[in-house]
Amino acid sequence: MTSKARKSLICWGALSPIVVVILFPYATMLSTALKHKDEIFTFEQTWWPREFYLGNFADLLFERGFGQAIFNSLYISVGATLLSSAVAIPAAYALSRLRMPGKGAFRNYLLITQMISPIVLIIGLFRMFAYFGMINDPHALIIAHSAFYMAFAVWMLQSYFDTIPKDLEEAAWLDGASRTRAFISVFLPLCLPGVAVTALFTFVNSWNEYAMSLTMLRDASSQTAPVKIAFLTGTLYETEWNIIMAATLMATVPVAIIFASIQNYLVRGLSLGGVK
Amino acid sequence: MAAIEISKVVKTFGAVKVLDGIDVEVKDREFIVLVGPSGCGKSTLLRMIAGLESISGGQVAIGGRRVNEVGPQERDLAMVFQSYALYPHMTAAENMGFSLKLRNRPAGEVREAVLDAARRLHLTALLDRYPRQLSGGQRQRVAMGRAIVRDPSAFLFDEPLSNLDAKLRAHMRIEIRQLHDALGATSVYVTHDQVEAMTMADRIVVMNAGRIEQVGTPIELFDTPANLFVAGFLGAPTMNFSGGAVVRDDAGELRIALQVSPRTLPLPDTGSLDEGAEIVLGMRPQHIEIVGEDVQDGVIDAEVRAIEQTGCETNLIVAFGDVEWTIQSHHRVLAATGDAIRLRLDPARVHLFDKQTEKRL
Ligand SMILES: Nc1ncnc2c1ncn2[C@@H]1O[C@H](COP(=O)(O)OP(=O)(O)OP(=O)(O)O)[C@@H](O)[C@H]1O
Ligand SMILES: [Mg+2]
Repeated sequence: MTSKARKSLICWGALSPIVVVILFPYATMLSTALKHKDEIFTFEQTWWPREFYLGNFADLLFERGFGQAIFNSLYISVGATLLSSAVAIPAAYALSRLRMPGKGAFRNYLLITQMISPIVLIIGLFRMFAYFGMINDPHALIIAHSAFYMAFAVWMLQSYFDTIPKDLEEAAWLDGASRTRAFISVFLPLCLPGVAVTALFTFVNSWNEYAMSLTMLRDASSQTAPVKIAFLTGTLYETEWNIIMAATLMATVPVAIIFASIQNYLVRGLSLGGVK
Repeated sequence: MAAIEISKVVKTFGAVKVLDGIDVEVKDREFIVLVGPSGCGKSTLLRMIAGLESISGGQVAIGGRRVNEVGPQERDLAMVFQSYALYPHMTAAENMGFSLKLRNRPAGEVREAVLDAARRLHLTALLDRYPRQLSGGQRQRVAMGRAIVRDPSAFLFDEPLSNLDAKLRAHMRIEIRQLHDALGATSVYVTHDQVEAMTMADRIVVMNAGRIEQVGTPIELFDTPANLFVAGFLGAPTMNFSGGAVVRDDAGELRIALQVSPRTLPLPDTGSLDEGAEIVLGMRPQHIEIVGEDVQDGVIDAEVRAIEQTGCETNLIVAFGDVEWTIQSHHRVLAATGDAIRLRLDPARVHLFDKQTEKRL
């Protein structure tokens, strides 16, 4: 065995407990979601279903309106991501590039807002949106989510923007580019990894958010996926694990796929400043 | 190409004044070099010309037009940065063509201009590469290319050669100067390397702590430095100094008595000095002659502290009293550490400065 192979074997060996802990819930989810209801409540549990039963998914989508919930979630998360990016990118650019008084204080203020739990604010938010007649309106959540995750986005983007040399924009200005043109042609292409990572964080946070969605969206048809899943458990006589697991699978897999597909970008973006 | 007039320019960062009343006139087609120690404000002045730094006081005019309130986009200048500042996501050709593309020139014309600049800089084979695929020297050339594709009013350089090795630097020095002449350009070049300043400049501006010490051609500055700072800053090895005073000898003649040498030296004819005047004497290492015991007048007796042979010249570190001087000779000097040595100072090449004002006498 080459030393490289041995090294990777040792690494995997050391990591395997963690891998098991991470993958166990997924395995349970997958195995349960693919089983028929009758097969779950048997005495002898098997990992492998007798047959790959897709009825749970069909039931979810066609009988229980889970498709609508996924769509709601997607709509809100994409909306929140776009809105928060649209505000956070210019804000972070200004913090990183322009000379302004009170910059440090503003940064600290952003940090402090992150220390307040959203739960504390929910009653106030509910009253506010009720006043504007926006209860059951997904746009209320788009606004609330983007507001909540914006501070983090600004903070993170600024750190990333600070690593991009100012020389490059200055060179562009001397080449004759206006500030806007230099921003679009020179600055944005270089900070794309940072923007992608930040947008992804906002998306995932918004996708998983529960308490606010539960409060603002009262109608069954406007519920988001995490809320819908919670409601699936509440049948009086039985807990339909097969349905719940199918739903959680549908809610988590898209996020996992996004993460995996832009993994390279992520690593680049997270190792701030390592971009050369 | 155009002239640049800088008059009474002041720059403050908060309470700190980093430039204090700078006056420079860069003539059309002139190659001006700004030199000075680190932190003296060279880059700040260049960036104010470029429009990247606001002007706190005074005026900058390019081609007769006041540009204080004009953005860097509209000043029609090209700048080569120390870091080169090449756009990492564009190829060498795209980097060079960017400024023309911004001016909406047709693609064919842009390509022609880029090719033309690339030929001048021997870059034709590298046009499709990204900056990360180029060596330091090649990046430097692309940065030069980006500056010359369009025909700007003036070129600004901020230590463009400081990231290159010594050999390439010497080569690029010549190449930049030739390019300047070939294009009939006006250039302002910032460096802290006095060799670059001496070899490239039409005129040198020596700066120190936010002020101009002297402006002149390289030879003027070398032969007649206006003050102690300029005298010590230009020339390698640096000029030797020693404190002294003007005295009257037994014959009634005015002579220089160095603090630490028992012998007096003849006083060069400056006409303005009187007995008792306190002075600083400066002597370039190249202008000190090693002489035999038989020479009596205008000499200093010293002791050899160290010898450095570079092959074509010999550097001697000598000491008399607590003063250490460097002597450079083109002859092979046969001396050993500890030897007594007699030095003759050529009176015509002695520099005298007032001790109080540090100005040339
Ligand atoms: N943005 C700024 N804020 C405050 N002080 C500054 C700023 N930029 C430069 N300075 C100060 O201005 C002075 C001149 O800086 P400058 O960069 O012009 O020096 P320099 O002559 O180019 O030096 P070097 O040879 O090291 O590049 C320095 O003391 C520096 O600390
Ligand atoms: Mg500088």
